Amino acid sequence: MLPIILYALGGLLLLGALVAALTGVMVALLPQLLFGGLLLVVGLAIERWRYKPLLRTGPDPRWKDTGERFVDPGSGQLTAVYFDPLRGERHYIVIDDQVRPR
Amino acid sequence: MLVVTTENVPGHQVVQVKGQVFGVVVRSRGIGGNMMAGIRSLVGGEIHEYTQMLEEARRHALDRLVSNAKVMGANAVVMMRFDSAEIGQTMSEIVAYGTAVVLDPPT
Repeated sequence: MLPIILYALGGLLLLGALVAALTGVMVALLPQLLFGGLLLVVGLAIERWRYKPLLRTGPDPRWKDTGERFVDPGSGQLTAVYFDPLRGERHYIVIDDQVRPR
Repeated sequence: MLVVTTENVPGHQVVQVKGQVFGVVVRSRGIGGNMMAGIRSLVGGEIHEYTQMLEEARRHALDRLVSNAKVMGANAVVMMRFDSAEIGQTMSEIVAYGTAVVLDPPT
């Protein structure tokens, strides 16, 4: 919800900048409107922070189940950890809700 | 690869100690995430943006620890611990460290 509000606020600022540029009304505020709008919209749009997204497909047959389980705080989904013994990599797989402990 | 916080693993014997092993990562949310977190902090409660960032940093650090233990020839890590610190205003460092060992029988 919060990102939508911030996107809307950024959009309004950019719209205000456009109106100011086209009509000449409040043209002194044009740099602030443009900068604020671009900061919000571009800052939210290009954020790169996801690390190794959760896999929704089944594990590769050569991967070993580590037995490690956790609930991903972002999605709230039960996640299992598998280990690839050949490459030394861990993989995070969303497991079916049916196996979630109650 | 088994990663435990205990010194011993029941049913297994440590036959070789490979040495200390680390996984370090420094992560930050972008300007968008920091803005959202800043606004959310005004009203209090959980800051989901930073919770998610630290959760992913934990995974990232543990992945690196396991990868480093693998290249050392270990098949397990014992006495694993996490530590954390802040760098600057918006960056968070997470380090996972432990002792890389060879367990017999292998897990």
